[in-house]
Amino acid sequence: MRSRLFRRPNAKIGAALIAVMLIAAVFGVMYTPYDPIINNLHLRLVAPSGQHWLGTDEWGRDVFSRLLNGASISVFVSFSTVLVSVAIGALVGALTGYFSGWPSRVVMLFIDALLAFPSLIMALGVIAVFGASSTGVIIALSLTYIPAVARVVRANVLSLREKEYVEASRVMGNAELYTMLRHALPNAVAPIIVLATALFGWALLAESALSFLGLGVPPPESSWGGMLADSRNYVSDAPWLAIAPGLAISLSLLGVNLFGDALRDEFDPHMKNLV
Amino acid sequence: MASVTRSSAVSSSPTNGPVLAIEHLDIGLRKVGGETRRIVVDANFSIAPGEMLALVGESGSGKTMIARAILRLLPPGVAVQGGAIRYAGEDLAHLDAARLRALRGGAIGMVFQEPMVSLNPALRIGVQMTEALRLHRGLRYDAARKHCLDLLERVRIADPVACLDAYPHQFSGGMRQRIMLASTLAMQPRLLIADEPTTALDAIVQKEVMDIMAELTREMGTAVLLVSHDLGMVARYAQQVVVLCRGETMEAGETQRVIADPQHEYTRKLLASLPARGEREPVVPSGAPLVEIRDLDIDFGKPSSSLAFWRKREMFRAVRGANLDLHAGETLAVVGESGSGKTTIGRALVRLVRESGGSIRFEGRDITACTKRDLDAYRLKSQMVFQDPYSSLDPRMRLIDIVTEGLRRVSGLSKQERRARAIAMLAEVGLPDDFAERFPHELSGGQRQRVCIARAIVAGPRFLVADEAVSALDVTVQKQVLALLENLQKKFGFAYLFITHDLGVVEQIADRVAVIYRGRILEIGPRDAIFADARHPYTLRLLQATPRIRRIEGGAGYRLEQHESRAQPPPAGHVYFNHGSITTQPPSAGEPEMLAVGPNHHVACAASVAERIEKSP
Repeated sequence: MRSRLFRRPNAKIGAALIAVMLIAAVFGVMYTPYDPIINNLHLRLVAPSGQHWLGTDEWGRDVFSRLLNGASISVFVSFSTVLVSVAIGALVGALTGYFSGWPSRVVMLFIDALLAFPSLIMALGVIAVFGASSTGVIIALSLTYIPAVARVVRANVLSLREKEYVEASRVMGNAELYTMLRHALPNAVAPIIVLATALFGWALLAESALSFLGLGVPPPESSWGGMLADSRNYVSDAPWLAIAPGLAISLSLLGVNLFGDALRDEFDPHMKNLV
Repeated sequence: MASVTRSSAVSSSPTNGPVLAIEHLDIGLRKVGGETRRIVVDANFSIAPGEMLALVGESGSGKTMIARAILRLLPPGVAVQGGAIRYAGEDLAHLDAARLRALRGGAIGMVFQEPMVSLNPALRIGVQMTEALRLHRGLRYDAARKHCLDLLERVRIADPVACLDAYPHQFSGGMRQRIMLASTLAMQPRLLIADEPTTALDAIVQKEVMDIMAELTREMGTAVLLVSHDLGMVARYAQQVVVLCRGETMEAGETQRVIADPQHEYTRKLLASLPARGEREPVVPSGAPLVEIRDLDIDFGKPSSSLAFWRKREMFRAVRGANLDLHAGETLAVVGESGSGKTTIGRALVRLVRESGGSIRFEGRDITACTKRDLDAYRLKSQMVFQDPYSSLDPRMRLIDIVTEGLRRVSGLSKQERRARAIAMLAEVGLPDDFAERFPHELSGGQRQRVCIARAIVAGPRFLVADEAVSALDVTVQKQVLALLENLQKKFGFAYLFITHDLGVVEQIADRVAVIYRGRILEIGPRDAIFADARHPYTLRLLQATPRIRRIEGGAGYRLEQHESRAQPPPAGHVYFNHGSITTQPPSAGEPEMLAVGPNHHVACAASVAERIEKSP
């Protein structure tokens, strides 16, 4: 399975890009060449050089250091979002898929209603309540992704419920919840993994968008979206300010998407229309 | 256009010699590595006009590949490697695409297995039926329609005009297959390829469709290539037979001769695998039955739209007033067509569906109304073996874990004991130690079914519900699994409730038989009484529709046997209970009563009209 997955060139390129992003996020932040927060107004808007690989910003902070710092925040927020939305979404989807009856239908009505909101607009509303912080972003994004996860998992569990091995477990006298957790949910793991990969990409992009709008991680902490927003006033004098975070976002997303596609093709070609 | 006229010219002028001749045909599958695996090796046969030739074999024998190669409908990667497919002098294997298109659907027609998907659901029957006539013959719609009406009448569609304006979903499987047949034969093809045309249909409908196909093709002089796994049906309809195994021709010749005097070892094995009446010591029902089903009603809600969850759903009664006893150690077969409610009774017995009325007693205790504890105890005593060996095992679990899970609800066993018992059970069903750590996908269908049986019996149940447990298996495998079930019964004394549509299997293993139709049990009795002295008209029709091949007494050969028992008058003052379209008589009024017509042999009757008039004051 693994060897077949990496026979796909998409998977190789994607995995390499993701690896760079993860290394930057986890280790890079500990070894930033300069402090990413403290101002140094003597060195405002220095062009890329041997000393500052990607130049400095309007407060004289090293762009490369801020990029590494931003990576850790972006990855942390995206990863947490995926974790929360998959955990809750899969549970809701599995329960509503496995147990039919009016409670399931009511829950699905709510889920469908949530799906009707444009995700960014809903995130704006949630952040207005929780305030602009990484926790706020995680809650906002999770809330918008839970319905998507719940829908996919529910559809899978609905068909798995009819499988004869699930019925066999019920005939044995096993509790319904046990049967669901032991036989139905594990067999829906493949689409959940594929969806989680896609969600990671969406979350990365949405986090950047929210930070760009000033609703994400508040300054002076760096985030890729925030760096992009700050660069707007100086883009003609100091283009590196925009190019560095822009490329970081694009390449990370490309990596996640390539890998996600390969994973999807490997696990389940039928999911092409879903994700 | 020129080719079209040529094709119709060919089809109208009868020629001597075979319509289709397959010569040294090789078919291979190209694998990823570049090597080829041979699927069909050196196939040779020919079909004369008006003749039916059957390709017979188990799954993987290559029979379907040969049929598909003729119209070049082979799946990707599979190709003709050598030999010739001669149709009226032309080699179809090397024909150009335009000429092939002219033949497809025109001079060569095809009927597929699955009637539910072979008609386009978006188009009216009339549009689909006339399509080929307009394309190949250049007929106007009106003329083509008239032609189709004739044919629909020939395949005995009740209202042909309404049929042409209807959509496929408005018809049952059997009706659709007749419509498919009519639209294929409307072209008066010289060759008809029928790939398992009736496998998805119930016995009675199967006979109707095959009778019509045989009659019409004989009349039109159409050569038929029948692909089938069912030796009984082949013996009844095909004049010639080719027996295939793993792509190689084992034996070929006149069907009667091949069956009466099989030359090849494989043919003999295949014939010997057919279910035959087994010698069973009759189980004398002694004492109270193990399971008593009384007046069982089961309703299903019809699917409703997801939003209207406050509305009461329409109900459909799947089982009506069923009464059944299951005694310890006996095999009770429940026979009926799809949708008769036979599966529902079995599922109610293992508590997969709830009843709407009536009771189910196990060892005297009503399990439809008992404490959770009693129900848990009952679950260990009742088990089920399912039909589809490919979806009845969790693909993520090892065999040892699958079987051990059957012991999960048994208390007081250590982990080692559970494991040891699971290994012992696997050995009991004929799977040695080294299977324990394997996953289901590494197993064949027959082996999977053995695992299902091991899982079902590991906790020591008193009875098993076997829902079409051997229907999905090839006959040679089926024979082994049936033998296993019989041996286990002898050893452990299980009772079986054997749900099936296959009367051959019933005859082999059942002690008693219950015949069910549209939710009602119509006849119940000892196996020999049902097969030799069936009373209800529906039972008789079912028996007559099922072709049976029997060993010639004292010989090595076999012959096709027609069912001989005759219709008998109902007990005095009664008529046979009848609801729906069993006979031409109108449905009987009121509830049926089961009248005894022999020892333990009961048949559903209703008071006759005369009786009712007498009774009324």
